[in-house]
Amino acid sequence: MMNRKTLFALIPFGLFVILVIGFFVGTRLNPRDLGSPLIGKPVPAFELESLYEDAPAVNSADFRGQVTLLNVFGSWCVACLVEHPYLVELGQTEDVRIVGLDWRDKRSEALKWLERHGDPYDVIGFDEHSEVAIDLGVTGAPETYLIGPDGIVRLKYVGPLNDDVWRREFLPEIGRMEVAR
Amino acid sequence: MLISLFIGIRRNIYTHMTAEIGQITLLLALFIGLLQGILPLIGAHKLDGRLMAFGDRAALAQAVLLVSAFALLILLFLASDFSVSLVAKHSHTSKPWLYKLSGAWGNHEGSMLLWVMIVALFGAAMALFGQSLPTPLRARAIGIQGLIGAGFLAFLIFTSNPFARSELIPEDGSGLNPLLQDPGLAFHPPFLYLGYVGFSVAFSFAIAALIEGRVDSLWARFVRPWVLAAWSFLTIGIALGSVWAYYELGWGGWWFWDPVENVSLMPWLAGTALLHSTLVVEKRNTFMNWTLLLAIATFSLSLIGTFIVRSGILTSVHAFAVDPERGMFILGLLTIATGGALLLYVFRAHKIASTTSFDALSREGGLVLNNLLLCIATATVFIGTFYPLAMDALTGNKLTVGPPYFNITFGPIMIALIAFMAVGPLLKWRTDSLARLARPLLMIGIGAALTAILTLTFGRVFWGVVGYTIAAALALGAILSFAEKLMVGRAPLNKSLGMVGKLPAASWGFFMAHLGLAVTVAGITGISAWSHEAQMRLAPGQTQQTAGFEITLVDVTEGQRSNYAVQNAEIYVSRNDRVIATLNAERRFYTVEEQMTTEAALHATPLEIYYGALGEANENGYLIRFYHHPLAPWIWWGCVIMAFGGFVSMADKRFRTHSPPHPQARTQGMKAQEA
Repeated sequence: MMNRKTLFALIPFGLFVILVIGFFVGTRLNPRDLGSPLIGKPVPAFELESLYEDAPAVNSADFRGQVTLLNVFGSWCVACLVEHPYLVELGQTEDVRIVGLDWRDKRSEALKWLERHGDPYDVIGFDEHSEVAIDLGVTGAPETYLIGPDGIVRLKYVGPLNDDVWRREFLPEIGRMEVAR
Repeated sequence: MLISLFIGIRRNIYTHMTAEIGQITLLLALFIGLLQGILPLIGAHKLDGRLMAFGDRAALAQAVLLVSAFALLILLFLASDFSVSLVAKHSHTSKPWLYKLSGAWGNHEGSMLLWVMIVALFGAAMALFGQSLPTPLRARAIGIQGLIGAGFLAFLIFTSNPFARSELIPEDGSGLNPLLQDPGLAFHPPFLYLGYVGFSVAFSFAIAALIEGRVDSLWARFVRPWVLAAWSFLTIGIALGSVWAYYELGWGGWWFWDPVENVSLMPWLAGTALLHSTLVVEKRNTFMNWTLLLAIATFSLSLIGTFIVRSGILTSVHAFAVDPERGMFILGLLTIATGGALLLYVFRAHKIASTTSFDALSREGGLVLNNLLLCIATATVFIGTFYPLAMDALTGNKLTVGPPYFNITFGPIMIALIAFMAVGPLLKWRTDSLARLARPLLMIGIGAALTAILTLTFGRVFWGVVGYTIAAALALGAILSFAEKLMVGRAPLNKSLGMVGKLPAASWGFFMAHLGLAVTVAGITGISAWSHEAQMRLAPGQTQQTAGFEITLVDVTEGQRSNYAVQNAEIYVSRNDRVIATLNAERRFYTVEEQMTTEAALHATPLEIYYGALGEANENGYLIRFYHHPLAPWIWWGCVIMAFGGFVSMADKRFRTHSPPHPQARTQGMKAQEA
C-alpha cells in the first residue's frame, strides 16, 4: 500500500498541515495587538523636519500638555487610506492633538496624498529614512501611539483605526489618564 | 420609478416580515444543503438511483432558495429598511439606487450570502448540464458541492447573519464608504466570486474522481468548461478591481500588490495552470494526478483568499470585515475541505495512472513548463503575501513586503512564461522536432527583433523594450499557431479561408486569450515605462505647457448633487493648438460621511489615457494635476479579450458530445468507464 506514489502523495498534505498550523498561529497572534517596550515610558526624544517645507520642525517635547495621537502613515500605504477618513473625523470631533509621522515616503507624493484625501494632522514630521520610526519600533503602517500629557506612551495600535478600535482601546485609556489627573 | 415601487411595497404590511422570511429561507437552504451533501454520496456508494437523483433536485432547490434569500436582501436595501442592522450600517436614504443595490453585497454579511448563492447556482448548473455524465460521478460531485455550500451557509447563519434586526432604528442609515460608491466596484465582487466559487466545480469533480479512483478524458471534457467559466469571470473580476484602483486609489497605480489583490491573483494563476493541464488530460490522458492536485489547490487558494479577507490576519485595504471568530470558522472550513481532499489524495493517488508518454520537445512538454512556471509564480506571490506572517509567528518581527520584492521575483518569471508562451502553442502533441519549429521560431525572432529596434528608436527604456518585445513575440506566436490550424501555407489560400468558419470554438478561444494577454502586457509596459505626469497652478483661463501638451483650466464651478457637494473644473488638453481632450475633474464632499474625495477626470482613447485631478486652491489659482498614460486602457481591454476567449472556448461542441474525439484516448483512459 505504502508505495512510492503514496509517499509522494503525502507531500501536498504535509505542506497543507504546516500551512494550517501557520494560519492558526497567525490568528492567535493578533497583528493589531502588539505590546511595545515603550508603553509606560516617555516617548523617545526626537526633532524631525516638517513635511511642509515652510513649517517649523516637529519636536517630541511639544507633545507635553495635551493628549496626543502619533500616527504613522505613508502615501504608499493602502491601509492608511482606509483609516484616513476616520482620522479626519477624529480631528473634528475629539479633543486630541494628531501628529503625523510620514514614514518612508516621497515628500511630493505625501503632499499630493494629503491634498487629495484631506489633512487631519496638527503637525507632520517627515521621516523619510526611518530615523524616528526605528526609535519608536514602527513595524508597519498604519500604526498609532497614544501619548499622555506627561509625554508617556500609553498605547500602541497596529492597523487602521476605526470607531470600534477607538471605543475599545483608546477611549478607556484616555479616560484613565483623565481620572489620574 | 423602480424605487417608488419598492417603497410602495415596503408600506405593505406583509413585507415587514421580509427579514424573517429571509432568515427562514437560509435555514431551509442549510437543511437541504446538508441532505445534498450526504444522500447522493451514499446513493453513489450503494448505486441507489433514487438517492443519486435526489442530489439533482436538492441542488436545484438549493439554488432557488438562495437566489430568493439574496433577492430578499436586495429588496431590504432598495427599500432602505433600517430595522435590519446590516441595511442601517451600510446604506442611506439619500443614496442612488445603484449603490443601494450594491450596498447589499458591499459588506461582509451580504457578500457571504452572494458567495453561498453562487455555490448553489454552480451546483444547480452541474445538475442541469451534467446529465451526460455517469450518474454516480455527477451524484458525488453534486454531493461535495452541497457540503461546501452547507459549510459556508452555517458560517453565514451562525456568525454573519445578514437578516439580523437592529435594536435602534436610525432615520437615515450610516452610509456606504464613498470609496466604494462606484459602478466599477459595484460589480467587482460578483465577478470575483463567480470566479472564486466557479473553481469549486472543478474541486467537487476532483473529489468525486478521487473517490472513484478514476480520471479520464470524459472527466476532463466535462470539467474544462467550468474551469474556463471560473477563469473568465475571475479575469473580469480582477480587471474591474484594477480599473477601480486606477481611477480611485491612486494616480496611475493599477496594481498595488496588496495582500487581497494577491489572494485573487493566486487562484487566477493556479486556475490558468489548471486550464492547461485539463487540456492534456482531455487530449492525451496524462497529467491526471497533477490535474487533480491543481483543481484542489485552485479552489483552496480561493478559500484562503476568503479566509484572509475575513479574518484580518493581514492588514489590507479590504479589512472591512475583520473578526477573529469568523476567521477561525473559515479556517476550520478550509482545513476540512482542503485537508480532507489532500488526505483522500494520499490514499487514492496510486490508483490513478497516466498511460501515455511524451517527448520533452512536445506540446505536453511545453505545458509541463507552462504549469511549472505558473506554479512558481503562484508560489512567489504566496511567499510575498505570507512571509510577513511567517516571520511574525517565528520571530515576532512585523514587517511588510512591498512592490520591489514582487518586481524582482514575479516579474522575471512572468517574462519567461510569456516568452515560452510565444512558442508553446506551435508544438505538436507527443513529439516534435526543432527542424520543424525552425521556421516559425525564426519568424517570431525577426518580429521580436523588429519590435525591439522600433521601440529603441522611440526611447531607451530597458523594461519598455523588454515588455513590447515579449508582447509582440506572444502575439506573433498566437497568430502563427492560429494560422497553422488554418493550414496557411500548406493548403491553397481559399481553402484556408474556408476553414475560418469551421475551426472549433476552442481554437478561437485560445487565439483570443493569448492575444488578450499580449494586449495586457503591452498596456502594462506602456504605463510603466512611458507615462508622464505634471502638476501646475492655474487660475481659470490660464494655460501651461508640459511634454508637448497645453493644459488650460477653463473654469471651476460649484454645485450640490443628491448626496454630495461638488467643485468641478473644466480642463482642456491640447496638442498643436487642437483640443484633444476635455477633462471634468471634481472634488466631492460627502455630507453624510463627512468625507472628501477627489474624482479625477479620465479621457481614454483607444491608445492612451489623459488623467486630470483638481487640488486645493490658493490665491494663485487651483492646483491641477495632469497625467498621460500611453496604452493604459490595453491593460483592461486585454483582460476583456482574455475572458471573452475563455467564454468562446466554452462553446466548443466537443464539450457537449458523448464520445471522445480520440478513439485511442478512449481505450486507454476509460477502462472502467462503462461500468
